[in-house]
Amino acid sequence: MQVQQNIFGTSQAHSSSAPNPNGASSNIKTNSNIDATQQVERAKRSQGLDTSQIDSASVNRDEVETQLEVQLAEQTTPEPLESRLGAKLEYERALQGSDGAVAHYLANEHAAAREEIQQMVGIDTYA
Amino acid sequence: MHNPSSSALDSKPQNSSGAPSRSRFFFELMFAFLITRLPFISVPFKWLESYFHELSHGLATILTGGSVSHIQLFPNGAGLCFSQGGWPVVIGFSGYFGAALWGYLIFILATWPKGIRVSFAFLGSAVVLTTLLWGRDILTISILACLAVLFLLPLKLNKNRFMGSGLRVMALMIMLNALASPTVLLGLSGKGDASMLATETWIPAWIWVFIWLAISASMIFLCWRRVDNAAAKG
Repeated sequence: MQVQQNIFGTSQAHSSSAPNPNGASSNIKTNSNIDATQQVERAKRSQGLDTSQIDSASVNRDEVETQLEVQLAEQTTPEPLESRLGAKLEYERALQGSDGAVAHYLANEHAAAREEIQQMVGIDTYA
Repeated sequence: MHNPSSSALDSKPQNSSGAPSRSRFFFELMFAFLITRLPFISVPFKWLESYFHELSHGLATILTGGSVSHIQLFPNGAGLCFSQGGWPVVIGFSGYFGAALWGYLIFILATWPKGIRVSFAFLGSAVVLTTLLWGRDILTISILACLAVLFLLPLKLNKNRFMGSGLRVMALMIMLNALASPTVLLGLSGKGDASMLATETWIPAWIWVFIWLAISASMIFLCWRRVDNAAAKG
């Protein structure tokens, strides 16, 4: 809903230069209310609530909306984010480990050849 | 050793073996010492010791299986030998040891009257060859050119006697410089051949310095022995 409010605010700001600012503003406001209600109902259905329960719950719509917002915020968004973040961290950790192993391997792979070249190219200085 | 009964021989400037008389040897030794102490005149003669020092490093490198890239000589008498491979202990030791040994060999050559010109030509050729093989920078080449002139110019002279004296004085200056140079290393920490040898062998640097001092002093003593023996034989 925060997103829609932002959209509304933005639309309002843009509509200030429109020829009929009041009409445009009311249309947007109505649509946003409808969208919010539909989304709340859709969320309730997704949680297994039937129509009668929805009707009874519509008495305290604001309260339910607030609760659902909190529930939605807790149940839908953070969990996948957390799991994704955890997976990404785990992946990066594994990647770092393998990178270190590869670097270590490369450092030692040509150690003998490097030593030989240093012996060949290195110049001793006697004063 | 010195024989009092042979003091009459000292009046002769040179005996039949080509070695100088005792008194002449002391005179030449004092003269050489004086020149090495004079501010500007001593400079080219410092280069002599420096050249034979670096030449010895280079020869030791080749003899121990390494290769020499180039040598550098500096006006203050310092020098560097850039090499690859070889035996570091032998190469490091050979610098001051080689300079003293070269001084003694040149002194021996200088007591060979018939071969004195050959000796000058040999030493001049060695300097020219070193310039061609190991001289890379202008400063080093200029110093080596001065040394080549120092050895090759006397060939223009017809007086072999002066040539012998000159070569002996040069030999004594090389030995005196080889005697004085290692003492500089006592004031240096972490630099020079003695420090390098100390790192390689775990024998303290001051021991190496005293070994070089002893060798250089021994070379001068061997020169004296040769003069003394020649004087004793008459």
